[in-house]
Amino acid sequence: MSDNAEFLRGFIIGFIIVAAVFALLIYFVMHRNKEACEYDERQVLVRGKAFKIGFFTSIIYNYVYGMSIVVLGKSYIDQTTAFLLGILVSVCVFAVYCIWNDAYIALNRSPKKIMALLVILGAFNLVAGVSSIISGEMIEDGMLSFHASNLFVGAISVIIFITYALKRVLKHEDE
Amino acid sequence: MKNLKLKSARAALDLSQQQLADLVGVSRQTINAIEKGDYNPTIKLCIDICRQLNRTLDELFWE
Repeated sequence: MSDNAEFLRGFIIGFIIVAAVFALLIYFVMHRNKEACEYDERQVLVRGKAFKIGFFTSIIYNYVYGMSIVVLGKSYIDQTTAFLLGILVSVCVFAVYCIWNDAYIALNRSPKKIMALLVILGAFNLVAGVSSIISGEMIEDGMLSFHASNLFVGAISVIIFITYALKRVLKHEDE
Repeated sequence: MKNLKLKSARAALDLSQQQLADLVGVSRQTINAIEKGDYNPTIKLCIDICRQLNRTLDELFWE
């Protein structure tokens, strides 16, 4: 019991420190780089709609997840993973909608750099995901464990990359 | 409804969509969307486009 309390205290303090460092980092990045992410008026509108769709996706996901527990009687997915999956699905919907409407990459950003970063992120996560499948850590006690999150992040990176590539291929409407 | 007047005014100055987009500070896709009639620009952007193409608002955006 005391060990649990110690663990919880450590976890909360660690979480607060990481959150504070992260918030400071974001603050400095935002204030030092005045030209961060410049979108034109159409892109701002599209992104607003994408945020709305992502938000409703999150609500629907949570409803479906909650109902699945009620109907099936138990959860087949670890709570933290389910929480993360909800965020990932919403972010994916947002990103796909933005990419499809040419509002994902800011005017002052290089698409190549962003896509390269996405490929690296996806590859690392897919490798970690596959290795957790091989080692058998993916499913614990009949539930999808937190180790599955790497696979989800990898899969979503791939979806975003494919959408971007498809959009590039289909962009012959031009001049 | 397609904005052919904008397209022809741009072509008359031998500007590509990308060049016009750079001049007015928007993406090429936004210029494309305006020409195709998929997006209604704000009055600010309309004025910027008119200035760059040496046309009036009536000439480019009035039916």
